[in-house]
Amino acid sequence: MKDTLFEINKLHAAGLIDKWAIGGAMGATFYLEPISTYDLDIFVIFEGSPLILTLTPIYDFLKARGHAAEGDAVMVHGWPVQFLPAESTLLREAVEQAREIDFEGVPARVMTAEHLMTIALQTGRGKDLARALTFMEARAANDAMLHNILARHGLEAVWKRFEQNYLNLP
Amino acid sequence: MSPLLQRTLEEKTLRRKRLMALPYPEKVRIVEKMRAEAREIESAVESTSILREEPPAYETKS
Repeated sequence: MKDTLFEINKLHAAGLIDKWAIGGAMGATFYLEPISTYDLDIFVIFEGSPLILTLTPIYDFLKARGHAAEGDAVMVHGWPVQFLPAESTLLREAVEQAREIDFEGVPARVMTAEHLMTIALQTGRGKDLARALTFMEARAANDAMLHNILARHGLEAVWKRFEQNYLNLP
Repeated sequence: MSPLLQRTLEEKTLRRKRLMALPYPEKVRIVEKMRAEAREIESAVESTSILREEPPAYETKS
């Protein structure tokens, strides 16, 4: 994945993407045990009008560097990379506040545990809720930060439901 | 709960903690290995038996 992240930094250096962050299962893997997944979700902030948003320049740039599109992803050094526009305020904040890491000498950004949990709760599929539960069991998220994010994005009811259904709190 | 089951569950919890504590690049290598093995199984089995999940529907606006 080191080479994959190197290519994503190239996209940033070329001005094709603004800030970016690893999310999804590979983001969660930073904090939890390894999670089986097929692709690498890269959330990206695009400046400019969302109405003219297109991923074509990204695909063209990567294609010229030898990375072919495969379905809804681009295969970059063995990883199917999905570029996901961070359009909602929650996703945008998650990308902006992502933590900077060093992946074997390559700089990268990973969403915080609190943002990954909030996004999982909002997305709400079975496996997202299971992941949120794993975050809770591992005590990987800061409670105050998590509740601050949930409140700011109007997701307190989603949390309450999750708490009632999955957490054995008195 | 029997002592045997109790011990098994404790060991399982410890193993998960050990995995969580691994450096990120090492965890990524484990994911890559799991993915390669899953592909191998997928190619050996009729595709009808593979569970296909819907992609997540991220909120686009808020």
